[in-house]
Amino acid sequence: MQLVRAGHLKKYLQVAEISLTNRVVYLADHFASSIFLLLILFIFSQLWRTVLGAGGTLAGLDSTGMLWYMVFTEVIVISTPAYHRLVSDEVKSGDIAYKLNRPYSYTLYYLAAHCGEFAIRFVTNLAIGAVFAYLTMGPLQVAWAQLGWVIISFSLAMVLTFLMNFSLALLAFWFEDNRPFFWIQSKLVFIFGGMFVPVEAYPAGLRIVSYLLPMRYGVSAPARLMVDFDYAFLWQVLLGQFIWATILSLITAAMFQKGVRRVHVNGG
Amino acid sequence: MAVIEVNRLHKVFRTKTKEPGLRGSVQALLRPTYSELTAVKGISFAVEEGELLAFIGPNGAGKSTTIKMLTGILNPTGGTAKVLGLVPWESRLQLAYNIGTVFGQKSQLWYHLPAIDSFRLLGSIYEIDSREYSRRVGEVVELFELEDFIKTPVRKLSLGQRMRCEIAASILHRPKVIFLDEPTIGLDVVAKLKIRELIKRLNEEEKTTIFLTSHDAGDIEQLCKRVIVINHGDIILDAPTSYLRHNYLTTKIVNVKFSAPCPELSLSNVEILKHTDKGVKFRVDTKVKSIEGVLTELFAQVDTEDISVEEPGMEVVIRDIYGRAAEVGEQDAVG
Repeated sequence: MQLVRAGHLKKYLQVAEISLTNRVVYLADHFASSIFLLLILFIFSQLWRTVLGAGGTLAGLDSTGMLWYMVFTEVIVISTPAYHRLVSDEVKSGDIAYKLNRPYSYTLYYLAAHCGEFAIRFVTNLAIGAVFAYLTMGPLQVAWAQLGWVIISFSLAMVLTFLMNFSLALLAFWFEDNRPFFWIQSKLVFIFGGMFVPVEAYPAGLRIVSYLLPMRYGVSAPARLMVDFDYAFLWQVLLGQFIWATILSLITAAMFQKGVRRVHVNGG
Repeated sequence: MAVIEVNRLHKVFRTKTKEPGLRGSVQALLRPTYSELTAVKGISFAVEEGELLAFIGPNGAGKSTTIKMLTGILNPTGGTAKVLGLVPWESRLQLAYNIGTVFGQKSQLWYHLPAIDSFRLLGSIYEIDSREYSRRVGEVVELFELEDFIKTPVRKLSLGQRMRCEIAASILHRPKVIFLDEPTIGLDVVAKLKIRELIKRLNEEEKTTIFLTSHDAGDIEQLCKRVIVINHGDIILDAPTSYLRHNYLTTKIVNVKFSAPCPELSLSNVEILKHTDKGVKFRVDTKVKSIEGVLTELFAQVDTEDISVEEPGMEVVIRDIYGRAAEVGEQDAVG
């Protein structure tokens, strides 16, 4: 991946801004799609109430904690833009021609666009999810003094989800249609990302596998920090996020270098 | 000084082939077979600074593939090329600061946002400082007459307006060379004329070297001094446009709509293709008779409501070039 020089930063900030602005155009559609989020939260609020009752806990979280946990995992997942589809369409239509002949890093362009779009989707989805969770289960006990650490972890999670998706998106350079890979990955996120249940509640074998994969650090871990902050857990999460971000950055850079040499830019 | 130098540039695409039906799909999965398509066959040419060159040919001739290699987004299979002294596929990012591209069938503008938002983004991408950016946007808005629709979302623009914005977006960073790939495709006559006028002004006023591909003979006739014709990946003609005009673009189709019915009409040295009470369609060879001469003869006999002149299609021009090359070959053989 091309390193960002200080003078180059402005172009990526501008990409993030235009991506965010573009998303505002779709804001009405976006709120409509949030109905799905409300439906899922409603089902799980009923489920956790029934299963955990008044004093029960799962992985150290009571029914209120479990619903708030799910608000954050769901919001991360549904706020992640589907750039694998965009890259695939660009390769198929040949529109990638305009992306490749610009003086920027293709990967950083998409990372910036991802951050811009993710930011607005995250804020709106979180607002909807938080209102629902507050009205149905009560307030979340926020560790305000440690909120800065949690935000850092969420930011790293945003980068990590981008890298996980984008490395698969680049498979379009070889296969044009990358959807089957993304479908598998999304199911892995459901399970090993701990989307519905914290991975700490899994049986030992499954838990170890999820600890070794990046999905947990992109979804479950920051959500868990938000609802149940703990310094020992924080350092573990930040280290995991940093290691996986480095590994996936290297994979993405290598894939781009290799893929761009063989991509067919279709169309006249 | 040559700004583009191409030497024996060659591109072969390897594509997977598949027999029809389900059986073919399964076979392709288990034992994939590939075919090779040579899109560009070792072409060589040079383009001088400030030149407005037409690079023409029918669909699938290799025009776009050549542009993609010259802009660094495709790696060639063989040969060399330099644009502004850089090998495009090795110095793609460095070259990008000094070249512009317009692909007529694709868009670089954000569809739901006004063009000015895309301009602002491109200003940052090309690292244009804010004072220079404001001055430059003012210049292109004036040059391309974008004032009335620069703040309108791109999705609401006509194709002609959008194409003006596309070209303007490509020259914001003052590129030394601009590659225009079919910039007039799909445009109506008025929009085409406007785009041609703008390309000419860009070349004359900003001294930008322009590499234009098109399969519209009108683009070439009205804009370029030199033309390279490519077909099946080979250069089949590299000559001044005047040579092409005098030798190959001489046949025109004229459509005339009468103001009042005219059953009888007599025109010399033209081939009448269709004649009704309401109008006439005929073919003229301008080497035999000028359009002006035909129209003078026509106006003496009938009042007209509308007249249009069609250029020969690129396929016709290429067939003609091949036809004459074959004739010369035969004469050489006889001689």
